[in-house]
Amino acid sequence: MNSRRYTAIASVLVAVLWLGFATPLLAQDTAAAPSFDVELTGDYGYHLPPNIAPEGTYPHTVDSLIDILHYFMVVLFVGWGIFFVYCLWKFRQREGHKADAKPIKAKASKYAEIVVAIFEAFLLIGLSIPAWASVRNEFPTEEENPLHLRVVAEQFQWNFHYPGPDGVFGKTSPAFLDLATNILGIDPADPNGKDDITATELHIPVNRKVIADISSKDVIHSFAIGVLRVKQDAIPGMRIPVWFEANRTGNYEISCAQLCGNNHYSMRALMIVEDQGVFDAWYAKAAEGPEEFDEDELDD
Amino acid sequence: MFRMKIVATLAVVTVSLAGVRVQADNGTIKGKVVFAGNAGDHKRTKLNTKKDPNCAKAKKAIGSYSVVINKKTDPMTLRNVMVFVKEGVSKKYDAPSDAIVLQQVGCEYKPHVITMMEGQTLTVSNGDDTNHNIHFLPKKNQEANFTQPKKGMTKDLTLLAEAPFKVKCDVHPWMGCYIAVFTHPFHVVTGKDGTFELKGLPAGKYTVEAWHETFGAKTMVVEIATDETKEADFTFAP
Repeated sequence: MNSRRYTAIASVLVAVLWLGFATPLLAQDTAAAPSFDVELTGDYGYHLPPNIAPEGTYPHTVDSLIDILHYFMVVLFVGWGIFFVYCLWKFRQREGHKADAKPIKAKASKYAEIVVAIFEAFLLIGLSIPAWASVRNEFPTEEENPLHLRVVAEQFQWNFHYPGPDGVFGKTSPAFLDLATNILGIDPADPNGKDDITATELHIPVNRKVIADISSKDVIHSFAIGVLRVKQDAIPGMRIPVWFEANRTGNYEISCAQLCGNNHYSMRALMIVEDQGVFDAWYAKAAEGPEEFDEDELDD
Repeated sequence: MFRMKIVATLAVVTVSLAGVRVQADNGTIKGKVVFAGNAGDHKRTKLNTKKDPNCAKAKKAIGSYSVVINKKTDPMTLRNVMVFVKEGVSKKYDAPSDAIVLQQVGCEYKPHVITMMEGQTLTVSNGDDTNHNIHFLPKKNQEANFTQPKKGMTKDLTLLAEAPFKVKCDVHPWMGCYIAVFTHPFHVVTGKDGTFELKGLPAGKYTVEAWHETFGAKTMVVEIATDETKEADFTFAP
């Protein structure tokens, strides 16, 4: 009888707390999520986002790994669920039965634990390590003519640094940083940096391998391209290479997968996969640098 | 008795202060901030605002602001230069009651350079259909860091006297502006004609500084007699 009263009091308390704290929170002004000015390509639906990597490359290995793990999870969920319901029924409180707090000592549970440990070792050694090996082993060689670029994360923006038509990155240093005009800190005196491209959208040609060096200017971010199953932490002081290839043109989302500060939610960028010709035209135009701002023509 | 003394002292102080005010100070230091370098080396460029499409919708283009040269004046002058009396002001001045407004419009700060008085209200307002984060980077004042997620939001602040410091937006990295706070009203920012005028100065010897965000500061000592107007031009030749 007492326990029922406590339950009732607890329920009322929870309701009061909810009304008192959660409702005002929900009613607060929330920032509008920044949107892209173009439609994203592909149907994201309720399953995994579309996979635009060529068949046989590591993003498909990642997908099959996710699938296998989910099948196992279904088995576990259903199995434990049945066992749970069985226990609820079997050990319910009833006349003539007293609770026994002593743990059981049976062989079955020991064997079950050993089986679980072996199974977990299989998940790691049999599935995850080979999947990770495929990410590293398939790394493109220079003969495959990959596109080289750098990804520089900062609160709260993705910056993309291309070497420009000369194929050589200009020197960079924090001494040259200017958040408005030189966000990557490219040395203005370095001839190799004259044609470097600084962009906030990732342009890549379709069906060409890309090697991107991921780094960060401030805190730890994570460079994530959902449609290519790429996810790599961007760590200050490190330059970590990743590679990817897209076989479908379109506009896709890049996000930050590591909580990086109060505007983490707005740290998105557009990945534009385009035909080599369209990409080349963009590359040549972007290498010319930013357009001149004519204040007589434009409102100042 | 003690209270009476306080009241009497206050009355004397008030009367004497009022007496000082009545004596009009009409000294003026005026001039222009000349740019004597090569304007071609400091062309303004369009900033990349693609990260937030709402910014591009609000404004066709935003220009870089690190150096803004008034090319049409003769000689060429510099815009957005703070000119202020750095040393030599001994009197106390009250802060004006009208607020200074720092607007965020088209993902740009308006005005780009602000000078204000200690105790004066600074109203920060968001005129954009997007989220802004206002991040003050002062050395002396408390660091302010707040968001204004909706159009029409405002926030009032008061600041302590401090040399120019930067304000940035964490959502839009290209956004930046500068604020300096003074204990006196002798400070202006150069505009499209590149001139300045510091009015209402009592006679005295003043150190006047011209501060530019890219080219740094230049100082000059100017001595003025009662009601005198003196010309003092600054020249930046990078």
